[in-house]
Amino acid sequence: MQGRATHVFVIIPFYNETRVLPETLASVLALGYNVVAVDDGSTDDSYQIAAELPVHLLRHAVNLGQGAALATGIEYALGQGADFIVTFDADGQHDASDIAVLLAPLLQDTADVVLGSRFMNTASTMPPSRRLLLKLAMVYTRMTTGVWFSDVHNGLRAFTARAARMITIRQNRMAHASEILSEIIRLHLRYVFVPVRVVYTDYSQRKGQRTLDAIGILMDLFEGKLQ
Amino acid sequence: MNLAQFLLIGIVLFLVWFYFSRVRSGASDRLFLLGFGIVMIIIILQPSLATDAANFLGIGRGADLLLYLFSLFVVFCLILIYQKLRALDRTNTQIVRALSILTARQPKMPPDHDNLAERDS
Repeated sequence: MQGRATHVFVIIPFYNETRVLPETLASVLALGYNVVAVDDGSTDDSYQIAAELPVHLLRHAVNLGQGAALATGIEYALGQGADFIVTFDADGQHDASDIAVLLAPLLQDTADVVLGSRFMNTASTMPPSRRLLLKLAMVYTRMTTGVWFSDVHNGLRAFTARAARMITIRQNRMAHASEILSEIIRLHLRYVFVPVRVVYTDYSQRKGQRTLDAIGILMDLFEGKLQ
Repeated sequence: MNLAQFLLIGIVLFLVWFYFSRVRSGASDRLFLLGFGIVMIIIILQPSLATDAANFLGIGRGADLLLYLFSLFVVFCLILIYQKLRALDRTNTQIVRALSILTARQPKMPPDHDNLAERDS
């Protein structure tokens, strides 16, 4: 990359996240990336808080779901001339310094999509119930895509603009994570996993997946297949 | 289950699959509904027809046949309604997305170092 500007856009969808949103946005901004914050219809003043920072700020008039918010942010970023797109969680689970790790294979053109995996190192701690749920999700993904993925539900990912344009996210809610994996396989995109840190705080745990949500995701995916 | 029932079920399943995967359109849906409605009305007016048909199919009473047909009709309608809802969901998403991009706010102080090559040198 000699002298050509590479525009990196980090998409951070959020919903009622006043407590940690400013920290999260600031940590990514501090590293010099473009941040696209997408308000998925928050009912508190998360939007106003985000507006005080130098981010691109979009807002869904009604709550559609994290998948929809990501798709909105990605479409916007592509329109802004993004070369690379990163997805990043707003709740403080992700570490901004991992973004450079995600971008490396894309810059070297060894992959079209880079997926963060929390199982490639022992730095992350995870409650056992979550671990079991994720193992089940792994099996489901293996059945539907034919591939064993290392981490099937990690919000930390990076795409080239070309890959982002090809991938269609129709699942508005949490099933989008599995849908993205299916799309990668369907489109024969080159993908690679890199180890990333995921921090489980009390705060993010309360907002995290529960068994009922997992069942909901399975149903969403099944309905999607009927289309 | 006798042979006639087995074959009939097979035909019904095949028709359903074929219909939903190939033929579907607004017009064909309405034709189906119309057809169902007409058959129902005929049977209500001439219950003996239902009895004859039921005997022919080996089902039992005309009322049973009516029940089966009605159940199929209801399931068909539910599927149509559900798919309408899904389509509405999609258009709703498109509208909300377009609106959010239209009202997007640019950063007040754009980061002036998004050039990774310069940054790393």
